Amino acid sequence: MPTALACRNLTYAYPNGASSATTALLRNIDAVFPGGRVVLISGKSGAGKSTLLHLLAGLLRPTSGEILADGQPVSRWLTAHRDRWRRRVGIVFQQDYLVSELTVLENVMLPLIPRSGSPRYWRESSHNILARLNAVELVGQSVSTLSGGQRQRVATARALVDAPDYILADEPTAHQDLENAQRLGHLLRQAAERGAIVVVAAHDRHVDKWLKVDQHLSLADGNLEPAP
Amino acid sequence: MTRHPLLLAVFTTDILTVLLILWASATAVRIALHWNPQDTGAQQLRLQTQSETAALAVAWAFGLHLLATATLIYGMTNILPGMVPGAMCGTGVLQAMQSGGPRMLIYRLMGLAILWIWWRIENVNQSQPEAPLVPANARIVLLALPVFALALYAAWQAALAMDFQQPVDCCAVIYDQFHSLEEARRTLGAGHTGWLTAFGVLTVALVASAVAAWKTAGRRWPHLLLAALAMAWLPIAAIALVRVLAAYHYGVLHHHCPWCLFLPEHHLAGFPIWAAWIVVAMEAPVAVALSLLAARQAPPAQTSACHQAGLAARNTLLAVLIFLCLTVGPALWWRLRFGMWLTG
Repeated sequence: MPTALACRNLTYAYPNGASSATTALLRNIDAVFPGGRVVLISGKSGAGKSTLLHLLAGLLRPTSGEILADGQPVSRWLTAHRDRWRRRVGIVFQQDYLVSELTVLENVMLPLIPRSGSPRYWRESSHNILARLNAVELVGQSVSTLSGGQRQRVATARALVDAPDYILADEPTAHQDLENAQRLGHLLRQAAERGAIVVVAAHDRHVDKWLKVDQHLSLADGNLEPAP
Repeated sequence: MTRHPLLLAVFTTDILTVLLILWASATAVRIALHWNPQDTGAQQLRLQTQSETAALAVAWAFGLHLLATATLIYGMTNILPGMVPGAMCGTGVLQAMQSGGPRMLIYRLMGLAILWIWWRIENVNQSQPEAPLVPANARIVLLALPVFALALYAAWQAALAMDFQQPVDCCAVIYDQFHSLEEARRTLGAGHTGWLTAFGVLTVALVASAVAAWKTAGRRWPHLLLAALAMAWLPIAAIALVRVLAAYHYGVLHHHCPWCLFLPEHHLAGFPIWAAWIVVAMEAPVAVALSLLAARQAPPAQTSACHQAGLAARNTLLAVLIFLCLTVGPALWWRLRFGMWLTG
């Protein structure tokens, strides 16, 4: 199990229109996300929460600074090594990015395929996680027939099916009712208890109704600070 | 100047190769000037991304160069002789290309050797998450650029010189080398028995050192010995092949032509034989370069470099054995079939 995911002096800037100038979305962020804890990052829309999660997941390269996983600078690793490390990361995106040609079960099985194990094991694991997220009745359905909330639960199941060491969830309950949000909160808590690093980004003020948070950070003006 | 599609294809591929290496060289210069793995600033992170893209460009250049060289050799030996009056194999085509032809081949082989070393080091580099050998490979890319530019210029000169109306005398080049039979039986003052003996002794020594280097990949001296023996073996193997052993492919004596081996009537044997010879020429120095490199690296990269050095030694061994089978094999077959050597 990982001990910590950290950002050191992390800056991310994006190009400002056609000119060569850039706008810094995140500025010199230093933070540590320890294993076995659930960390909530809150902030207004556009504050950079999703960008920070994408950086932590190795999907974006920082403009400067680095992301350290167990002290290793994964953000500076060669692409092939970073991709291999990313297999240990489960990401719940704001958009679900489900493959519309596949069924729900096939979508959830996808992260297991590069791993060893039999198709039977993949199916059983997928069924199990879907059941825990109250979505087992959807297994044979095409994802194109699902509602927004159902799609989000399937995407969450896909992120968690492989019991990842790092769980990065971006607004994971945006389309969920309280009962389903609480189920997800329970799953994330269990993952933290087995030692995983859990980082949740949300602007929902009622997060405490479904998720027991160990640390609450606030992202504003490019800076990440403990929430008041 | 000829506008044969084959030469145009090779020339276009060469231009593309030079452009890719030129592009990678721009990054290589920046790496040489600014690379600092301890720095996490924007410039260093940008350089890290660019170094991966540049490595991809050089890998493509290497592949294109191999493809163009194989196409050129095939064309020179199996297509262009039919168009150059008087040419029967690559010897006549080279004659038609005048001085540009041999220079083009030399620069091509040099370019191949440089990118071969780059590729082996890149394998070690890619095996490490933080790519510790980026600066070393950047310097190799900078070394490759002038060689590839010269190869392109020589190819241009060779294509310019070719004239399909101008006859050449292919056989005169081969047979004018000697004035008497006695001269034909000697090379550089030594008889062919002497060359064959040297070839045999060096081959046995090379095989033994390749096995030693392969099995003791972490030690430096077997690789140094392997490289030294390979450098001695290469010219002697070439002489033994062209002056003595090729006769068993041709079925006639004193036809000292390295290019006729590539012809279909000799089962295109030149391709695997000379490919094996080139592999020895490339892999043996790579094995020593990697074992020297391993000594200067941190433990994870060191292990990977040792592994690659072992692979290079194993490839050298396989190439020598292939060369041996394809050159000595026909001679032994001849001896078994007819009960005597071609020389009596």
